[in-house]
Amino acid sequence: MKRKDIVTGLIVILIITVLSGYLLAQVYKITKIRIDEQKQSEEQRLYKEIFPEGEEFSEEKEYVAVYDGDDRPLGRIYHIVEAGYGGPIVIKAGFDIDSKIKDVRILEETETPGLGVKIKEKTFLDQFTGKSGNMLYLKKYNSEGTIDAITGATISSKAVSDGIIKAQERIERESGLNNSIEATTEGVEK
Amino acid sequence: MKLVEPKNFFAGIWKENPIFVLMLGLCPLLAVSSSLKDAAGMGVAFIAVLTGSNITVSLIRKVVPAHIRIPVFIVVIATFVTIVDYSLAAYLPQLHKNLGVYLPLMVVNCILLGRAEAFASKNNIFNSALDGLGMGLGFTLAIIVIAVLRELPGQGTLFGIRVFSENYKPFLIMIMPPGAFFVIGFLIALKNRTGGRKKC
Amino acid sequence: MTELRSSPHIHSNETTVRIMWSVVIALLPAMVASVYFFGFSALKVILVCIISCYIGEILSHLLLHGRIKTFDGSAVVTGTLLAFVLPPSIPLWMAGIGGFLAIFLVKELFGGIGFNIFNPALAARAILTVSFPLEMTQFVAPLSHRIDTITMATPLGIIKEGLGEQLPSLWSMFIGNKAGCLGETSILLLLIGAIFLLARKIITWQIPVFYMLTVAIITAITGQDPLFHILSGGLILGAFFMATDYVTSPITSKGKVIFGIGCGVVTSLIRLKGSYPEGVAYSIIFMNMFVPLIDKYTLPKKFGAVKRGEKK
Repeated sequence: MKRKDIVTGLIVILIITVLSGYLLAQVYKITKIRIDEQKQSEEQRLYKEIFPEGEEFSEEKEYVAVYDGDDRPLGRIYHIVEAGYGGPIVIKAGFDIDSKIKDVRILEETETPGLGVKIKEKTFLDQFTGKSGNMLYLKKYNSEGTIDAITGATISSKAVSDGIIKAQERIERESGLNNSIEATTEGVEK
Repeated sequence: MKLVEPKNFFAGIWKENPIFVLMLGLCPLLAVSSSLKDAAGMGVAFIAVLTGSNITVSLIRKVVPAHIRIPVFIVVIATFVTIVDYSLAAYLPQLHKNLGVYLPLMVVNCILLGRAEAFASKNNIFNSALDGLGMGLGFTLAIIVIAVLRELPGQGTLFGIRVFSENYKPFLIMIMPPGAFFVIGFLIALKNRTGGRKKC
Repeated sequence: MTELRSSPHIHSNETTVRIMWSVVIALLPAMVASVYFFGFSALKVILVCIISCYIGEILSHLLLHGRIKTFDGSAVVTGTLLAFVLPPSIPLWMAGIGGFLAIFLVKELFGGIGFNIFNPALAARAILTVSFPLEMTQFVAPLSHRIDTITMATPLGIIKEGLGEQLPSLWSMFIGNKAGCLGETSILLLLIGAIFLLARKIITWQIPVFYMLTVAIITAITGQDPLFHILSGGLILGAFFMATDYVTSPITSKGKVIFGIGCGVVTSLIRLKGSYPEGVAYSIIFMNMFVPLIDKYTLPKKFGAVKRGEKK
């Protein structure tokens, strides 16, 4: 290859990459605002679904703290990743200030179609609402458990239940923080 | 060749269909054809990228030296794929999420590079645009046919709308990877039978 | 005959039809057991499978060859074997789909008898398991059809889920009084059929023996009861009646030993580590893929052939 060919080749590819880089930067600038909005509103919508009365959701290190309009704490939303049957299951679990389950949502899963994916259905997830402690176990695995596994999808069901129980254990470990929430709400409740 | 040759448009749809005849780009085809909605979205995104890259490649075909053409094609394709990727993320976030990794993977799709190399780099802008549209439409039609044949038996729905009754027991294998292979195999067999493919 | 023919010159008197009917006879005792333990619904499933296999055969012959070829009885064998690996409570239309796919998709599309890569009955079972996971994993308790049909976990299912339910005794597992697929439960009657096939030299001993031995050794090493693992699930049925299928197993004795060991390793892996409780069906399908490779490396050298690179 001649020296001239190399130089022209370099110049052409340089011009094209610079042009395409400039174009992409412009597109990125325009779309970024929308993309950020989408992401934000999607998360906010999910939080609002779990805590309909929540007004403010502030990101803490391990969870999202939920406050109502008067800045009183309502509870926390935990982000949990648990190994399911076909891959990781991403769960958002809301706990109220008594560490009872407020609501549960499945963000991502790769479970068996028609079987394990039923963990996303309300009939399964609603079983957790209002429960705490050993009640969160599947009936099969704990005598105090109250959760019915999805027929034929025990592993997927167990993953959700296990994830929620782990989040609950995390709350108990951070009992120092937990007490402070209770202290601030005691006056309000009683 | 004339400035505008309509046959370039029709070639991609049937006679040189990228899926059933050229057998290119099977990866996104297998991955996103389990639901009609995603398949249609993929098809439209594909037409946009293919037409855009064909036009651009044809436009710059005379200034690009032959020995660096492949990297230039890839830069052009990647640019269009990224534009489509950003736009979908901004305006159709659900579709963007469903298509997942298969959208950026279009960068290495054989149809795109193949058309740039085999057609757009040798023909004028108008014919290249027609070729891109035709090939893109051929891909879209193929993926839609496959998606119908998978979503209907596999979920009993079309476009997410229930077609069969609630009691229908879905034939789940159809929306899993093996189902895609079954459908593509049968369709190619059918095309070979009707299209009178030459015996090798 | 005096015409000149190329090798092989040794002929056996076995014709395909004769082999097929011998297999059917060998399966009869287990068939009787299935009707005894699971009632007439078991017989219905068997009949539906056989009929749908015939439908698949006729349709594929008409579509692919334009005429109906003579029946060789293989549809009866495939149909019966498919029914044997289905749960007794399966809806009949699902069994029908299975029978049709076994012949049409797994056998005829690959070139018909003698050319299929996978065991048709097992491949059809795999398709059904993926498509209808709920119906394919629910088993009924044996003898419960007389009073009120109740569901029950299979012995391997009990172990996999770790629920601490009562396991059936080894004796009741041997005679077939346990939950499971239709024809896999009665080890005793399956063995009688297997001995019949062995005595008539229709199957050889290498694959089943090395298959069971491998499972026994691996389960024993990992601290489980090897006898329990041999008597549970579809191991006996699979080892004697499915892994030995002529078309989908290796030709040479050495190849058969490798095939049997391979099946045993995969079955144990699935049972001990996998998410499914039972792995016989998948292990045989898995090893089916290696048959051409095994044959290639175990076929005896041609007489007089010179090794590549060797001087004459």
